[in-house]
Amino acid sequence: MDEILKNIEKDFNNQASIKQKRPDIYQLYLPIFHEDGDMIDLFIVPKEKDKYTLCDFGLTLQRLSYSYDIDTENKEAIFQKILLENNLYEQKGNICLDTTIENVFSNIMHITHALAKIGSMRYFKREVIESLFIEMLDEFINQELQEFHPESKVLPIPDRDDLEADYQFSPNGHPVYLFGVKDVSKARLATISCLEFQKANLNFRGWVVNDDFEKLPKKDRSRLTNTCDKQFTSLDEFKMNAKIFLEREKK
Amino acid sequence: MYTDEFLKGLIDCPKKIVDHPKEKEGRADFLKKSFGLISINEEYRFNGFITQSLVFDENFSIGLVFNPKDEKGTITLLRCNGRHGGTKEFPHHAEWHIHYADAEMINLGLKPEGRIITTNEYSTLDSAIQFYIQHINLMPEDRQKYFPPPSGQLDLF
Repeated sequence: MDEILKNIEKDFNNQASIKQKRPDIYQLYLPIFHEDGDMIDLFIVPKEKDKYTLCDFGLTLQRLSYSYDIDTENKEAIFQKILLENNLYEQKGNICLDTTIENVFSNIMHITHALAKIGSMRYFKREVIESLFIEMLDEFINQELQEFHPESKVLPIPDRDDLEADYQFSPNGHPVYLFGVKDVSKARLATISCLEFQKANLNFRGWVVNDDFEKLPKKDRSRLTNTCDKQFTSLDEFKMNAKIFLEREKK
Repeated sequence: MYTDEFLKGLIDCPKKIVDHPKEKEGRADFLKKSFGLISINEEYRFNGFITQSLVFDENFSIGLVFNPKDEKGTITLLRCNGRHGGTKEFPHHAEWHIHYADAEMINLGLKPEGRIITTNEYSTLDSAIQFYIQHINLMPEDRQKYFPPPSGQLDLF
């Protein structure tokens, strides 16, 4: 064990230190830090003759859990993919990489890099993904629905700048106003806007594409459903069927 | 734009628990408890968490997270950590330390809780919890109800 520990200190130009955490468990104090200033958690334990294991004893997932839990199949799949692609393995949350004395420096760099990737799973939180919904909707409309002459940010009632539709399509004489609904407040705005357009006797169709229809509270779902002319419950549904429904508007 | 005075005010304002501590079943070797809090004037909402490694008792973290009403995302105001390992300030020693949110870091878009100070206010998870509930100004009745002192003695203050 002494030989590999000395190797590590030397390979890091004596900027690293090693302390025994428990019998046969050594913590590596490396000049590699998280964004909040905490040092990355890494340990080395003997495995068998001339073989060792670099691991984190579950501390990366514990740190991730401050703001993000791996509690769905999708999240678990992403986590497992990161492990697989980085040749790591996991034992009850303890993320591991086997090493030898010769490869210990490069393996330390490799595992710390991978642990940082796992830590960055917190960027997959809902509010980050929600902001991608609008971008993805915009990209689809601009790439796939040009034949229906899309315009963005339209004011169906010119002196009501508080009632803006995200998009207008013109398949025939009357416009189709589309609202991209990613949260409750947008759902309510879309509902109010469609009601006001109806009150102003505009000849239009009011469509909604939801980021996640099931996520809306029941009352907001009811109001929106009762007010608008057509709803797509998800972006995937919109991508599959928008053209079909816009074609039907031509007739 | 955030200020350090505002962040301190969020930590210091009296709070009560609105969502009682629940243990989340971990998929790894650690325990996690989460709870919800609100300021007494009902102006500000917070989440709290307590995590502890099942392998190393000294690897724990107790956090207070601010949930702003009018913007997306959350801000970790403080984290009381155990002696888990080095920090930028002390790269070769494990010290009990507290991460605090820093206004300048938030306003620059960096991870908020980058200001680290060492502490001798606690030395175990239990004593850290007692320090935390006083530090965040949790109402006494909630302290007693949800985080009673481990000795069983009554909390007089």
